[in-house]
Formats: sequence, C-alpha cells, structure tokens
Amino acid sequence: VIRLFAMMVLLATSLLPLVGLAQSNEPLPRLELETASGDTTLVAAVEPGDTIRDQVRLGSDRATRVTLRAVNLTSPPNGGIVPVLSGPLTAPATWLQLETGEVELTPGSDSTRSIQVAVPNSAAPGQYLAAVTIDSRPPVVAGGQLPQTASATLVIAITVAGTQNPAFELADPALEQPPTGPTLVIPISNTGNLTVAPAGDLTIVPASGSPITLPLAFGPIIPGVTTTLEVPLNDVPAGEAKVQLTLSDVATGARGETTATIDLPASNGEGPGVDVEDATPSSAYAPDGEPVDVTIRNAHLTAEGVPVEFVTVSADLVNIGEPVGPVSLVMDISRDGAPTESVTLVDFASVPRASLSLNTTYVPDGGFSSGLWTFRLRLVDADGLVVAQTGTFAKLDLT
Amino acid sequence: VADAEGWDIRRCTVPLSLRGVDSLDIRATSSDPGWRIVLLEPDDVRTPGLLNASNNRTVIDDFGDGPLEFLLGAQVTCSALGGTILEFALVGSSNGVSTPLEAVGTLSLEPPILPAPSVVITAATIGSSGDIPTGSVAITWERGGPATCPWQITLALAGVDALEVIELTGSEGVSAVTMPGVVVITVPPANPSGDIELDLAFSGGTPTAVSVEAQVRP
Repeated sequence: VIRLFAMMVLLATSLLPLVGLAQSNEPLPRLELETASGDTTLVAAVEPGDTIRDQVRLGSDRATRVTLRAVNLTSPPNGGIVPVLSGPLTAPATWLQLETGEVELTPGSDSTRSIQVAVPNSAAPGQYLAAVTIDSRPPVVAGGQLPQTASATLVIAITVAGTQNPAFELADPALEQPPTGPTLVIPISNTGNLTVAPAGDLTIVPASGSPITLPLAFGPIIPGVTTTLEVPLNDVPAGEAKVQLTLSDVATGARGETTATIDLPASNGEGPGVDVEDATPSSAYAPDGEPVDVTIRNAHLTAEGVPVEFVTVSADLVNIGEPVGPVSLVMDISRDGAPTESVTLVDFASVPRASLSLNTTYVPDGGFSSGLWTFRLRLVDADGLVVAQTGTFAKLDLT
Repeated sequence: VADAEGWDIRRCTVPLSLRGVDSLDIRATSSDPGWRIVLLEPDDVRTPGLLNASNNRTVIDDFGDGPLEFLLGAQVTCSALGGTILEFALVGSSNGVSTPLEAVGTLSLEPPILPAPSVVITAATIGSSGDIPTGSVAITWERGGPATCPWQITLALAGVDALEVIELTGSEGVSAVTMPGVVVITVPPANPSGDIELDLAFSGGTPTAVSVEAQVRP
C-alpha cells in the first residue's frame, strides 16, 4: 500500500507545492557522547560473568537538555549499524546499567555518567552490540515546520571469549520494483557470532549479450540479524538473465553465494531482452482517451511437489489511476517455446485505485510433463485489449 | 608501513634463546572481529599478493645467525568497530617433539583515527499529497579524511512508523534504504563531499522532528 502511496506522491509532486520550511533560526547544538578515553565505541573482550565499568562523557557546544537512553542496535538493508527506535530493550542492551533520562548540558562543562556492562554467566561466545544515545529536545517552531534535533551515539561492542564462528547465509534473490527502479533484493542472515561485512561480485548473464559484473561492498551485519541486500539494476538491459552473487567477509573468510533467474521489465535499460518486442506499456491503454496506469508487480511462481504437482502464482495489481474494468488477469503458458494455453486466473468487475494482491494455483490438463515451461501474465479488458502485462516472469525447467 | 590496501606491516623480533630448537611455530590471534592478521617470513612481503594469501600463522626453521624475525601484517576491515589485542603463541619443535614456549606476547592495535565528517541538514520540508504526508530533506556532507569503507548517514524521523524514498537525487553512488522511522544513507568511500535530496512519503503518522548522524568506519 505504501508503494501505491509513493507513486501517488510522485505524480502529485508537481501539483502540490511543499509547505513549511523546517529550519529553526536557533542553531542546533553539537552533541558529544564518548567514553572516558574519548572513543565513540566502547570495545571490550570479556569472559562470561564479567562486568565492565567505564564512564561516558556527555558534551554540548551550547546549553541544551538531552535525553540519555540505552538502545538496541540492528543492521539495516545493505548493512550498517543503526539504533532501533521502538520496542523493548533486548540483550545485550539489557546488560547495560546507567542512569538514563534527561540531562542538562552546558558548554565547557562536561557531564559524566557511570556505565556498567554486566555480561551474564550464560552468555555464549561471540560479539554483542548495543548503544547509548542522547537526543536534544525539538525546538518550538511555527506550525507546519519540521524541527531538527541533534543526536549522538556511543556503540558498545562486547566480545565474549570462546569459539568464533563467522558465518552468513544468502537466500533466493527476488526482483522488486520500487519507485526508484528495479532492484534485486537478496535476504541475508548473519548466522554466526561475529559481525561480517560482505563484499564480492554480482554477475548478471543475460539471455543474449555479454555478462555484466557489479562489484559490491556492504556494511557490517550484526550477529543474529536478518536483513536484505538491495542492488539497483537500473542500468541492466531488459530481459531474462541469470544472476549469481558471491560474497565473502574479508576479515574472517566467511562466504555465501546464491543464484536466480530474473526477468527485467521491458522499460529497463536499452539492451535487447526477450520481452521487449511484445511488452505493452500500460499507458498505451486508453479506451476512453484517458490513459490508465495499472501495473502487474512482484509476479512470482512456486512449484509445489516433487515431481511438480501444481504451481502457486502470486502477483500484485497496482492501479494508481482511475478505476478500470471489467478486466481479467490471464496467464499465458508455453512449453519448450510453444504456447500451450492461456488461462484466466481472476475476473474483476472493476480494479479500484489500490494495490491488490493475488494468489492462485495452476496445473495443466494432464499435469506438468517434461520440458521448459514459461509463464507470463496479461491484464485484458472485455475486448481483449491489453491493459498491462509482464514478460516471462517464471520458468519451470522439467527437462 | 601502510600500503594501498591498508596493510599495516611490522617487523617483529623474538627475543628468545632458541638453542636446540629446530623450528618455531608462531600464531597470532585477534580478540576482536574485523581485523585480518597475517604472519610472514621477513622476505615474503616482497612477493606480490602474498599478504592476501597468507594467514595468521608461520613456521620458521631457518634461524640464521641474527635475532629471529618475522613480519606481522594487520589489516583493519569494514566490520571492525575499534582496536584489538593480538595474542602470540609460540611452539618450538626439536627432534619432532613440540613444546609450547612460555614466552607469550601481546600487541595492541588501533584503527586509524578518523576525523568526524560534517553532515548537515540544509533544508527539510513537509507537505502532503491528499491524505498522504510527504517530505523532502536535503543533506550536505564533507568527509573529514580519506576512507576505505563505505560510511553511513542515519536520518531519523520521529513520529513516523513507515516511510519510503520516492526519489534520491545528488551525488553519484549514494544509496538510501529505509527502516521504521529511519533512512540509512550509504556514502561510497570515494566521495569526499557531496549533497543529496530525498523525497519521502510517510505512513503511520507525520514526522515531528528530524535528526541526522554520521557513522564512519576505518
């Protein structure tokens, strides 16, 4: 739904001027939050049951009131280390002991707080990350303005002694279509007990044309965190392609790899693609002289059973224009390059201005025989005109 | 000595009497992740690529006449969060019998000191499209020194559950991803300075405040 909203915003940007300049006349305070030795990361190697004792120093270049608190840390998509802004504290943030709350800061007069990190006896070997943050209070500003606040973060990195097990796993990549363009999204889980920073190559082998290699480097991923790696493919030619991602962490040697077949939409890039010739832009459909804007997104097919008994088909139908209908979503099936049949998956009296998620199953008469099966989706009106369509969104290789 | 790949190479001397020892096995272990440690014989560092192909252990059996020396290579990687302490374990062998030596050394290593980058919100506007809150935030930054790792700008928007980047314009190679209430901007190490503008759409509330913070790694 938020993507639908996003597209609406994109269209409306030129029509609705933004209001309210967010800047306050009062300069932001420059905040500092450090260990007693001046580091912005408190790093310690400990044994289970140990307690670390240190001081944190809070400073500001102007008088201000800040809120001091402990926070969980996580890794965002593409790696990194960010505070979690909501939800209860979990370990290791719960190991931190310090007096939190509001603190008055004055320039030239640092404030210090004692901090203890009590590592439980049961703590397993590995690395644990949490943080302490301070945030200034938002200034009072005129209505419609967005006030700025200042913040500072002290990362607490604890390594509990024992067997180090650096590892991560990559799951199957998927092609997504956010407003910023086609993006390869690869789930990644840090399954070990050390932070890793994966780097390597994404190799894209199109059905025709030369392979493309994209060097990639991602930020740190904290142990236990599952996130995604997101690779923009705006400059990759349209059409079907095999992708292979091989990553490793330089420091530890941990490795992961995954492969997939993707089908980039016809509007992507400028190179040849298997679906360029017959892909119809949705804007070309204008039965009443008014173009409609319906797209089929996130088409996905999953084979069920061994041998394959049936397939599950899912897709999102996104309409950011006027309601359109009646229409039908049709799936075209081919085997070894020859069309076998077209089946209507669902009929709509009208597709509203909204995002609809579809999920259905398909099995051909007589079941799936051997061969290379390919699948496309079309949204057609009552006269058979194409409102929107995909290229080949899935292949089922039963050769 | 720091080379182009960030290897810090140190010549180490073993101040031990090795009379009767045929070979010496030396191993260095880092207490913290993010540090890559290799041990080499003194002349090996001249071999191209050997640093990257080596590991944290070496066996020396040609003692020569002078003091026993080996090379230590330390490379801080993008997952390092701070310094580390190396522990050395030495095992001597004589006539096929190995004995751990009592002498065990430690060495403290610190990553390069990175000047804090300057990151400033130069404009932040809020608006709406129908019932949907929208916003635009412009950020300018200047990295304080050279970098080998991508670094991170965290833009926090209070009062918002979910947000999406509609458009990102500005410096080449900069990317943005979202989490609840947060936009994380990754800046490639090659960009010493730049600016970007983000067009955002919000759901689950209208932002009440915005803050920006930079995080650099070695």
